[in-house]
Amino acid sequence: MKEVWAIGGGKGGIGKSFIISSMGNCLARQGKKVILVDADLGAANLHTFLGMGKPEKSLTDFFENKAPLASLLVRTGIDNLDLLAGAIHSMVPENIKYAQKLKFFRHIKKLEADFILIDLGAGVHFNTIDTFLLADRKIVVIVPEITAIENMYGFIKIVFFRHIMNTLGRNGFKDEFREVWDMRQAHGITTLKVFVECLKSQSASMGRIIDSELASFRVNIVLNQIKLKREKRIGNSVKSICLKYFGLDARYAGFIETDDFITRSLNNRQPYLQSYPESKCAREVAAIVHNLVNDQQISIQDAR
Amino acid sequence: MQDDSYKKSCDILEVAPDASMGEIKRSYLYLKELYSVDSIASMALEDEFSASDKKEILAEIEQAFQTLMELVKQEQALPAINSGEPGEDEAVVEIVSGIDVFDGPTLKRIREKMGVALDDIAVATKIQLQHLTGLESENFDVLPAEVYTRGFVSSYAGFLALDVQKVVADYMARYREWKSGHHKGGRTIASLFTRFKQRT
Repeated sequence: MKEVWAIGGGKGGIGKSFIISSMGNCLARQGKKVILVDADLGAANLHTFLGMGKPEKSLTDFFENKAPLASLLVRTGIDNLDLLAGAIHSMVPENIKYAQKLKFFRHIKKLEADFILIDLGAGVHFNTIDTFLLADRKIVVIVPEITAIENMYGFIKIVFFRHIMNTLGRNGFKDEFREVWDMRQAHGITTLKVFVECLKSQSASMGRIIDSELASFRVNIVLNQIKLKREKRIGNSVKSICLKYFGLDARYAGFIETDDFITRSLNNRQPYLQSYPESKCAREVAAIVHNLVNDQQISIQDAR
Repeated sequence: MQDDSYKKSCDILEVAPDASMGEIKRSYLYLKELYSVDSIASMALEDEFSASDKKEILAEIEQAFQTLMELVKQEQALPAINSGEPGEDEAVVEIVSGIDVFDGPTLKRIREKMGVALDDIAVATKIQLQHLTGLESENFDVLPAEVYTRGFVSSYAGFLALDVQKVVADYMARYREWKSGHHKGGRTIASLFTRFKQRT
């Protein structure tokens, strides 16, 4: 079974690329064939996390020259781990056409691997969101900082809004959706929660669709850069709020403590997990991978 | 039917259906705090997460907990519930309210019950770990001068959200008791010295 994981959303610079590259590394060490995809259009540097220089081939050749994705894979020097480098030196058109995105995703799914891990970078661009929505495992990252948590809630809201819009559209409720959207000021709708409630009240079948989409919409939360043990619980709190306030199937996949050696190994062009395979962070990354693969999560008891 | 409400209540309290009594209570207390006190997790939603939303969620949590307690009472022991280890279920609040004097070992017990690591207190309060250990074990010799020790005790108690005044008063009384005994020792050495001087 091939699985596509995507990490995205929220604030920049909180460790998304570190986490996805380390998870890839971890899976590869377990003998799984892994492809890392750097879809952080604009700030692509996943290769640096793998201790590599700027790769010769990149996704630019796919978008601009229609090169097949498989021909763009770069060896990382780590067994079982290949990289599809991001569009580094080119001006990627801000708006890749929807058809092209779907094609991109279709081709990604055809790559030969056990796990395909996509780094979407920060931001809430539609390119990011559409790819995120298509992934089997959706991963969001927070750090113990209010700004990062704000951005994560914002990302989740936009992602879910887009998902509801797509799903209702596919089920022939495009006009109803439009109508509620156009009337949102008259209805006094200011939050996503109220907007969703309003959509649900339109008709029983719309209500059913939205309910089942909400319940099956799973986001996996990873809490990065914690300094105090008690900060682990921030992951439980954010999960609980996603669950109870938004009604999403949120999971708390795990936490990673800060480690100065991460920056050090980056600057030395060494993948952290290769340099420090027995470190606390490495074990925490392995625990997250284990939880994601086995559908498990961190409970309040575990976060002590 | 009963299984249904049991399962649903577990979901709301965010515990697995095979959770122990202690786990259920801890989760309940945790969630109750999360939705009644501001934290960065809830403040990040401030503009839209209204007081009435929180109230609704709190009521749901309360209801779920009552339901579970009722079910337990009805069947005495549901097969799915393992009674936690003795003392495990006791909420920290209950322990703290039953304490007369806050001494070192008591503080340690409370801290462990809260699941707080000494390292965390060291990082947050910038008190050296050896001083914290000394504070809990009442190894007063390793603690600095009284005024600093008082500050340590106060930070420590503050971190655990205890009644700082009461803890400092109790603890420092014990510290002073020790110190006066210690000084008596000092005096005997001094008197020995004078005796020695007298002889020569």
